[in-house]
Amino acid sequence: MSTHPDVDLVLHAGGELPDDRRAALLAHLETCAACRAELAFLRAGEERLRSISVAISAEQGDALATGRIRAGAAMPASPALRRRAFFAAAAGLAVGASGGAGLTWRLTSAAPAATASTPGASGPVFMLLIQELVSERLALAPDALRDRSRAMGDWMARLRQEGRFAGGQRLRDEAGRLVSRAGVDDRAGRVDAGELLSGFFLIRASGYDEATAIAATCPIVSFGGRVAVRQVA
Amino acid sequence: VSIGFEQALVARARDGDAAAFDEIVVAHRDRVFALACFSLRDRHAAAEVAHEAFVRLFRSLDTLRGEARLGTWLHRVTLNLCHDVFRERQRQMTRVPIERAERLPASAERADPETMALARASDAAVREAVAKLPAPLREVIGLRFGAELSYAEIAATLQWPLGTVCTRLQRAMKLLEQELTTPS
Repeated sequence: MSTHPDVDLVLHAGGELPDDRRAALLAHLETCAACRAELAFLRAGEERLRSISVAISAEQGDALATGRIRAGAAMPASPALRRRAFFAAAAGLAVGASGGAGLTWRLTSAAPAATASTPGASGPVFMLLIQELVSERLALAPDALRDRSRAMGDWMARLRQEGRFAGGQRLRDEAGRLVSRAGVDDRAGRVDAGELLSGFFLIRASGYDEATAIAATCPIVSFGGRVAVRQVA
Repeated sequence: VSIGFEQALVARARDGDAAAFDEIVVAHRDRVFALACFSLRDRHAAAEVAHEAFVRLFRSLDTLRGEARLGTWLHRVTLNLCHDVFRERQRQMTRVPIERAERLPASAERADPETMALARASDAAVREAVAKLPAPLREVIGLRFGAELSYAEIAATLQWPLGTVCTRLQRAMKLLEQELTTPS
């Protein structure tokens, strides 16, 4: 069995020897040439191995792009995620409970971030801004909310299949704040009535006519909401 | 990154927040890739392994309960995936048996750092030599210099005593020196 403090030598070479053992090791090093040489070897080895470059190149960066990882994870997802995203996973929308507002939709990480590589994904990008009357949504029965979520999922699945989906995000159920020259209007608490901007989608379409036609098929419309269509500059 | 913040990120990702999952990937991507690089030598294969590790993380979001740090979990999965790749290659590799490493006296074969082969060898040669190490020694090297973990973190990842981590790192360095000194 070795009489040399090998473990402490390694820890010392790596700068991780606890303070309360340092004095003993230094005292040993004073008298042990073999351990001094060993320490020099370990330090040089640490330094050399640390210097080896393993930075991610552009080629490997592509494989490790967050969107590609999420796309790779999308199918099959974990059972619970699959359950949660049952109605809308493929579309990038998941169904879940949200406060007193009943079922809502949200972007799920089970979905690829973009579909630029999907055939058919060409043309300018349009933003569809979803506006809903909070009072109407609150008036929906649970079954109707569920139907709406399912319909939204199907709608988004179709967009994705067609290579049109380019992103989207649900917004929290709050009015947020409005900034103007007059100052900041804190409207965060005023979500019980009036119109709420509840989310947005980015889609690809050949022009306004097609984007508008797509917006008209958004289930939110048949449930009383409105969709503003704007082309991204 | 505090463990609380990390758990909050996992919770958000579990709830479908894509940005939270992306944040996790970005925070760990470099280290996971570097760990796989040290383990596999081949950068392309390392990228695939790292990709798969994050895919598995995504699929495991529901079962992560916060007992271990996310990095620890990811590094274990990465090492397991590297094992799988390595097993595929095993027959083609010239490997140093672990017994040979275990028999090396801890303080033998002292090298002069000025002339040591490990210090003078090219990156490619060092990677080649690391790839020939027995798996446990290769893992220590990968976690230390790829994932940049402390010895305590390596011990937690591999579930070895701290002393074992240290002695295996020491043996790994000696085997590397030996491999790089030996004319091919």
